[in-house]
Amino acid sequence: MSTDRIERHAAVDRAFHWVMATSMFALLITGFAPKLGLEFDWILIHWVAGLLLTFIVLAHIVRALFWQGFKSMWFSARDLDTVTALISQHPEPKPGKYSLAQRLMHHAVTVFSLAAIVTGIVMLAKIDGPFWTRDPYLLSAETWGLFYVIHGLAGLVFVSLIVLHVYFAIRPEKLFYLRSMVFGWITRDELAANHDPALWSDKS
Amino acid sequence: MVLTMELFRYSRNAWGQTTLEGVSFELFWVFLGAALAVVAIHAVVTALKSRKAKS
Repeated sequence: MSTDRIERHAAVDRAFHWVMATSMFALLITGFAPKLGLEFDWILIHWVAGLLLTFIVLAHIVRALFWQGFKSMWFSARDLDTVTALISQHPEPKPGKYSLAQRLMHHAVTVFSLAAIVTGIVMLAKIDGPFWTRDPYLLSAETWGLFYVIHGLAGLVFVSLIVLHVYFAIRPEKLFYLRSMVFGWITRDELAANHDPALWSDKS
Repeated sequence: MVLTMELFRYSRNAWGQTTLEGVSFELFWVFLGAALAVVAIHAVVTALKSRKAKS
């Protein structure tokens, strides 16, 4: 990598992002299309994509806890300054590695992914699989209903989150973030213009 | 005209009891529409701000 570029996302993290994106699209298409009138055999694709999402999220949690500085994803008092600046229409303070909006998106994805994963794994009891036999009486009808509500609600929220995520990824002023999620790097000029080097740089 | 929308799906079992089945799939269009509305509003506001800054 040339010296005017700095690494924003390691190859393993980019792979995680795109595998998650692929499984998420597969889950949303197989989850909603049959309900909206497009009939096809969706269950197998849905639960296999769900297991792929589960595996990749677990791997990401382990990596984030032990190999990445998860502080870069957390909130600080500085975020209050960002909110105040937004409200008063003053220039916002530059963020560290991730902007407040990016962190909020990450946490929303975390909450609703985990909700969909936990309920989805329990819902596997409703179908026969290669290593298990279905047991629809595992939970009471009321509890199953609750699980289906949480699972469905998580899916609906992801419809909104993905539209917003794709929109902000392809906006002209944010395209360098998309490039960094494909190739891994941003330039030092992009770093200086959009981030506080004291809070995030390749030396931190 | 009053538009109504179900938030949840229910079924009735053999004993006539109502059972919760999940969220209503009509909500798909609400969540999609809400996100597209945010996108449209953001795009217009950003374009207007940009035009104002240039002039």
